[in-house]
Amino acid sequence: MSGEFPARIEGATYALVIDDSRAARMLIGRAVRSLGLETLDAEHGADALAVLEESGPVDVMLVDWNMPVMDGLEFLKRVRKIRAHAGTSILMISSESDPKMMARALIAGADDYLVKPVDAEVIGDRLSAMHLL
Amino acid sequence: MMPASELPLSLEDLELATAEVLGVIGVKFDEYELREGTPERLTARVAIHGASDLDLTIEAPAQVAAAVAAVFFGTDGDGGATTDLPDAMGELANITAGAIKPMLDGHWVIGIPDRFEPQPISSDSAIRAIVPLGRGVVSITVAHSADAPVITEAASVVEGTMS
Repeated sequence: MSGEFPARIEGATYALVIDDSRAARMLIGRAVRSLGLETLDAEHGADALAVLEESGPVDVMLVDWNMPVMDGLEFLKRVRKIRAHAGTSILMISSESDPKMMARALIAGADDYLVKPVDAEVIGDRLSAMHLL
Repeated sequence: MMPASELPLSLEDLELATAEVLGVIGVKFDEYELREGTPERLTARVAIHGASDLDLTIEAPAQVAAAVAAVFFGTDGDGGATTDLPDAMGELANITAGAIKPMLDGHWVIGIPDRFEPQPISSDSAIRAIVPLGRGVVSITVAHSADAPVITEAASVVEGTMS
């Protein structure tokens, strides 16, 4: 969460995991770290914007949809308007499987979409497709 | 009270979705050491809004909740912090709701998981999948929101256990 992340490791690839469930952040974060990435995390969209303001751009964001305070869709819309993050890869990871909602996420700025539950192999495939591995 | 026959999914659908989720998550059953103060049963609820308002609720004994939490938190052999178990149950409810959504016709939206105080609910107005897991069972119920268990922020069952 904001203010709790350590100094950046030079040359490392950073992922920001955004999910209101600590269980989900742990599961996804562990999967991402097993792929060699460093992670930051945030509890909701507003928290993620605060983290990004303090940490600077990351290489990829993994974003849940249903979150309190600011949901994933609103976060997508806002973060894509910030020049520094306009080109960052964003992977939506949500229990929402409705094709129309997936389309809304992609239109709002997500690069790809995964339906929970996910594991390291599936996340790794998507990160490879984003040329992050 | 709305009859269970008016729910937009069947018990078979619910059992299928539940089996799929638990299979993918891959819960392992060890004897988990639970922290002092852990309630005997853990609960979670998530609303599903669409053509009608539904509640999906999950109840499980603490040992089963600890097994689920161990998957999420990577804490094999450790029951995890007491506050982690409701969070893990909430995420399980969230994922299960996601698994049943494709079985529902039309547009549905999943809410944010919370807790509930278990209350008797008639089998005439709900469908309930009972899934044996390890040394206990997980009970997953879908009902119209008006017939679902009452939501309480400080439910006696989980009082003092949430972050």
